[in-house]
Amino acid sequence: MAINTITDAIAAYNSAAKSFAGKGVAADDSVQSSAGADFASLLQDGVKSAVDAGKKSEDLSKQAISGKADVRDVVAAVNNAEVTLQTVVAIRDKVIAAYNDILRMPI
Amino acid sequence: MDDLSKASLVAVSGMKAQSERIRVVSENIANAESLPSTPDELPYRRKQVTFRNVLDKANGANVVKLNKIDVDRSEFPKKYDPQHPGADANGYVLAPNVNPLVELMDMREAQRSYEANLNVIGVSKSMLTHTVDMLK
Repeated sequence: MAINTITDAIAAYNSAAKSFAGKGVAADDSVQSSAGADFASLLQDGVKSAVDAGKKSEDLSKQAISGKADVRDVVAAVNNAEVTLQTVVAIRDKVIAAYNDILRMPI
Repeated sequence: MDDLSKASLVAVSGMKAQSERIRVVSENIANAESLPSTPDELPYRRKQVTFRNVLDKANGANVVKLNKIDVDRSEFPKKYDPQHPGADANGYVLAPNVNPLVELMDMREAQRSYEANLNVIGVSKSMLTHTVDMLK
């Protein structure tokens, strides 16, 4: 039961990462034997989307400084980048905390 | 993209539309005294904006766009000013059909709508942030 909920959580994180990347949820990824591969790809996708959002917001900010971009677009892009980064960091912290909990588990 | 991010996008489109409306209102106010320089010329004609609902296919949300900037076809009021170069034989000059009170109300409406859209951005962002904070 407990194992099931952990894999469920990892699957949910995974689908969150997929939705960052804009690919949608893949059906065959729901349960995998190795959590390490899951977490690596999860972080990769999440960080990639955060970096993309950050780049977009920086590009728009640069254009806004030279008077080419709409300030409202800049606000939307910066907000989006901020929320994406917060989500990635929160998921990373949560999964690493779970990993540490397992490492510290007395055998 | 999730619905709360889409909500921000839609609100941004509303803010852009209202900014353009403010621009048109300011043109009207600035030109409220733009009288003709000869008797056969016409004075400044008041402009007004219309909005339109557009589907943003890339994001799957309905946003608002400026439809077009139309002119107000109402009659020009006449002002008695025989010294003016635009005055006709009876001493009347055609004045722009801009009513500063109407422009003021239009501007106030645009301001309120802009603020409402700002609040939508703030609320959707705080909802997203609070949801993500649940993970911490």
